[in-house]
Amino acid sequence: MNNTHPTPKHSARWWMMCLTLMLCVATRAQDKFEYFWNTDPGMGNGSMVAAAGGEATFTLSTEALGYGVHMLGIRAISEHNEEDRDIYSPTMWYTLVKADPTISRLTKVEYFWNTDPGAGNGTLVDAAGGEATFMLSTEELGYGIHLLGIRAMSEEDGSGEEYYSPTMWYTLVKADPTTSRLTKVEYFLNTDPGAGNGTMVDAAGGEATFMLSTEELDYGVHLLGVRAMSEEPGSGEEYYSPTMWYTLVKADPSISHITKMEYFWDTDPGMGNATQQAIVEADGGAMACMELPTDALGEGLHLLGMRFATGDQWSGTMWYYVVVADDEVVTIERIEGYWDEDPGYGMGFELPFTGQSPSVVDAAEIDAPTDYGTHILYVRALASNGMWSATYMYELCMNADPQIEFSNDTVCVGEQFVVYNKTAGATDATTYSWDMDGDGTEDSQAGEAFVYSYAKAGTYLASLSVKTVGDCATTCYVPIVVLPTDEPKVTLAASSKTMCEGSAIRLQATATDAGDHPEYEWIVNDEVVAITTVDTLMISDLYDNDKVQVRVISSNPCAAVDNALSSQITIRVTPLPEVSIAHYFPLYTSEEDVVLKGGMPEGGTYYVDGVEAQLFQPGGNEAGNYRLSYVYADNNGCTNEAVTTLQLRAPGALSLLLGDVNKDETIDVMDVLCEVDLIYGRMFPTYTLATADINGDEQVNVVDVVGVSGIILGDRATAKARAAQRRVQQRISAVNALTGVDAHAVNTSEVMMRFDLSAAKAVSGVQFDVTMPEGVELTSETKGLVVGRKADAEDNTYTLLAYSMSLGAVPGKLAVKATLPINMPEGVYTIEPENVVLVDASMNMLSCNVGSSRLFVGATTGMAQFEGSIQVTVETVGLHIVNAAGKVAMITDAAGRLVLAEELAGADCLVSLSALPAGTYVVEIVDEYSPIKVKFLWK
Amino acid sequence: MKKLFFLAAAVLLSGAMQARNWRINSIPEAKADFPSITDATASADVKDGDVLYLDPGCHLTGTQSVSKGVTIIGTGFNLGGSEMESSVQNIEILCSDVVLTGVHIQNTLYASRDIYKNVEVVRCKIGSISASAPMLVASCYITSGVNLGYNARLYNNIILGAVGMGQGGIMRNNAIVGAPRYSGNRMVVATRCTIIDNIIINTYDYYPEDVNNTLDNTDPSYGNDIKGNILSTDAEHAYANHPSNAYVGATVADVFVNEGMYDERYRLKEDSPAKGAGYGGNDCGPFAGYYPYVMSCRPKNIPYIYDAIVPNHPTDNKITVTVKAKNQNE
Repeated sequence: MNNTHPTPKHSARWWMMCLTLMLCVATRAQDKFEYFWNTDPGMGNGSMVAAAGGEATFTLSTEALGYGVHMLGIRAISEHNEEDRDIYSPTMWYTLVKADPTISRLTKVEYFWNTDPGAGNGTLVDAAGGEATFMLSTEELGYGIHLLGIRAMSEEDGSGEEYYSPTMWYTLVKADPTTSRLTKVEYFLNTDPGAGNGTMVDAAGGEATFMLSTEELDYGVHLLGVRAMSEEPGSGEEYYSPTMWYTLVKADPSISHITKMEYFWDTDPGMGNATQQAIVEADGGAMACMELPTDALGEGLHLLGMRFATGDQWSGTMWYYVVVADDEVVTIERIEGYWDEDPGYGMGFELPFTGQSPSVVDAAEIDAPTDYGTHILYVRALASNGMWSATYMYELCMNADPQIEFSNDTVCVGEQFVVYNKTAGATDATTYSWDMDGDGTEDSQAGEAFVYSYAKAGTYLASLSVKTVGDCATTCYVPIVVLPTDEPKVTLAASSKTMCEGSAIRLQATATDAGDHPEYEWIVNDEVVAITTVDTLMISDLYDNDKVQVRVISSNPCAAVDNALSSQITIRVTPLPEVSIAHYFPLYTSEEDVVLKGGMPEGGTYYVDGVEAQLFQPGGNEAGNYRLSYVYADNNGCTNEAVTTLQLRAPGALSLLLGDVNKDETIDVMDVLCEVDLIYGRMFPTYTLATADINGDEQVNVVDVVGVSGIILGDRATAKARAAQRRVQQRISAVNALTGVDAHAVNTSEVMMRFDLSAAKAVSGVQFDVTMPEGVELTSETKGLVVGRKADAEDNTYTLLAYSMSLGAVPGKLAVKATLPINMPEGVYTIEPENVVLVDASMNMLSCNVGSSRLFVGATTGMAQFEGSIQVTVETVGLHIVNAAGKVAMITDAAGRLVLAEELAGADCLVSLSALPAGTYVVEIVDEYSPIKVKFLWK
Repeated sequence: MKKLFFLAAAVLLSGAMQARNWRINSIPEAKADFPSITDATASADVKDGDVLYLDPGCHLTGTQSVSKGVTIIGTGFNLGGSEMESSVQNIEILCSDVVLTGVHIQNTLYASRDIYKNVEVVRCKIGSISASAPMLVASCYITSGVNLGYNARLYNNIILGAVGMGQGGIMRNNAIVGAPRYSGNRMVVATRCTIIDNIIINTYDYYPEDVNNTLDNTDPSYGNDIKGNILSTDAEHAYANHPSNAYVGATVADVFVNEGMYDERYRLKEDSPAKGAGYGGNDCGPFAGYYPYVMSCRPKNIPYIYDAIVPNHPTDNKITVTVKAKNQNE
């Protein structure tokens, strides 16, 4: 807006103004006002003025304004307490003319909306005295985009000649506050850059006004496009209004005197014949604007031609492409139909529908023509824009209604049956065409019933076509099943002819000529195990060499035989591998990771609570029980599983006792993981390096022995024993002699043998057990043993425990009060393997035998004393069992499951344990007099 | 998303209320008003401004002559469901003020004289166009070449062949894909034309790699305004005088989804180089610009029946019909 330097010829004279505004608005106590010049900066972005009491008086300085016409926008702001936001009044518009007082003789101000009516023809505002300020009412304006032109008029002294300033242009958008989401206004000159790509003006709050500078415009005719943009809340989707078009003419005053302009759409009517607008030359050159209404244009791309004239001389035509959009949503207004002859668009019968687009005629019932022959139903739709759809055609055949009945529902091959013609509505002109086998060839033209038969089995679609008028044919179809007379047959297949014990295989029967609904009898070893209507069976409970077959029971009534039997299939069933897992003593959460092992046969997979694992991490788990399983698959693909429980505990006060091997928080005989054969004079404690080397010195010796079990029989023998003793005394002079004359102790279920106390100073032999008589306590000594004894008890079974609490060597000699080794009288002995079960440091000598995983204690000489008794010795390859001919050795695992049973053929047998995985077992030999039950550790 | 404005059959809308509608179908049993377009426009009953509807299922053979200023409305093509298409073998336009929309022209559209004005061909499937009339061809699927005369306007078409344009023509937002074997293997030959926001891809396997393979006449002396186009010409062979094009050596696989049938294949990929590459930042190709392409070329603002269940024989002398109709608002 720098047109403040009028040419000398058209000198305008401007005054300088200073505005004092008093605004009074019915507002709240916290109201304020904001104002701005020329271009609306958006709600809340103008200059603020406090308005206590709803009134404000303030002085607006116009010093900074250039000379010329200015727009002042003012609006009130009230604070909405409840919603904590400001509410804005509509903007009040004022026009202010600032004139140069040294040269201006301002007399009037003129303004107009949208189309320049020509100088002097707009709304005039008196500016006598050189000042002009007035309020612009926008009430009469419709919602939309408007162009405001304002110019000043001065009058030459004396001559009364009027001069006009250049027109100042403002764009004002008036939005409907109830519906608008106006956010921006954009405009462009001459070429539409595309929606969103023009010059944007903020219109937050639903209003916008901005000054349009024409300073940069070239002289000539220009096209101004303005449109509003709204934004959908939430989605942010932008919508643009149709573009409003204006022409602007800017003429070079030095070379032209434009008097008029004209425009046309699409087709040039010729110079001077288009829509015209007169132009009055103004100060600074001709400037005119004209609104270009597009309402009468159809949607689409249009060509706009514009030119201007100086006198009668027209300029060349300037061309612009203008796209006119039609956002009207067209809907369906009518759907109509008619039969055969078109009554004209809109004259058919109406088909009721719902919906605007899509629109649906939902199952409307229409009267059909009554006369026989071909008829066409025509359907078309009318849209709200007056356009019709194409006309769609649907053919209808009015005819007799063919119907078929058969004497039989199903027929056999070659069987004759009756076909009935039940056509309804037939006339004398009705003709018939039968196609009984669906091959497209006519089989009969019978109008009445006829006899028919089929040569081949199958399902046929018999049809009857009838014609009454012309070629209009109506056909009905009826299926018929023709059954074969062939005997049924069946074959059997198995998904596998080998299977693992306990698994399943699928048997598949394939029946032919057995009818539509045969039954199947599934047979195993000539016994029917299942009857089904389906041709497959999953079966699992088979044994090796079982023979399976299937019999089909035909549902075909046409066959002479009603069943057929398949050939047999022999199924081989492979036993599952024997799988075991070693017992695990409880673990403490404070312990190191444990490598999972002990599963046999080797090569399987460990799972902890169903998850494959190689380690168990006590520290990484919570206390509780865990299911440890070991799964092994043999070369046949058969899989078996052994399961044990991993007990994980939080450590307690007794948890860390050295020697508490079995984690029962007590150090006792059960911590000694040696199994000792029940052989007099021989003990076979089986130490493992892991369990026996308690002190971790990489040697297994006496200092590791924290307990050894032993039994001393009670010092009072039974009467029978005493009698036997006397007989022995009569025969044997040596007091130390020990005889096992009574191997059948009473009430000593755990004791295998008893010993005679053959002499006053002779003591009992040694046996092993864990059972103690009630009330007997064991004491621990580092020197010698004090064996508890229950007075007057018969058949006492004592368990001896010797503790080396400090894990140090037992010093000195062992004073044996109860002589542990057999064949030794009371006395003091050097502690030697031959003599004692519980020994002190001298037992080191045995450590050399640990390498073979066995510890030999005691004298083999004692064996001879007990000939005839069942004796079990754990050897490296199995159990050596003597004196048990004809009996059965039954071996159970730690879980009590029978894992091996072997009849003992001779008096001296070796029971091989090679098939057993390492672990703890119990062998039991049932004998009327001397049952034996021995727990042993097999490695 | 910006809601853009576009055109559809503007001329027919303006006069449709007063115009008469006529059905065209060559099958006598259809009892249409005329068996051909030639007969219809030759009839004294048919006036300028009337509307000719091609019946669904109607296939007009030979060359149909259009001798009056009518609007001819077809069904579009590649329709789903139970709809039937209509088609015409050839059409020859012999007058001004003709609008074709939704018409499937199997072979060629002719408009041989440049005195025929106001000819608009919008949303049609066409084999090829050979015309001198200054016609508008917009939103069409053209399966072969296009040869147009002076002042023709070619907007938003999918053209599977080469294009020749007379002086003063406008080519905007087209996808031009093919393997021309003439004029130095280039896709477009034009003089004094505006060529903006097109996708032009030469798929001919044997053109030398070291040449421009898309646009002929790029020297300024030919007066072409070429900008905002995606080209199969690579940057090394860019037109020095027209720097505002995207020389990406584009291939069909780079630019289009290349899946589906017919026009569906030419939708832009998500990462297509044509996205935002046009003059002013718009997309290149037929789906942006003034006449955004619509699949199947259904004519705009024309209703159609897309599904119907009509028995072919009555029950108790009545039939029960279900009809579903829509308006093509897009």
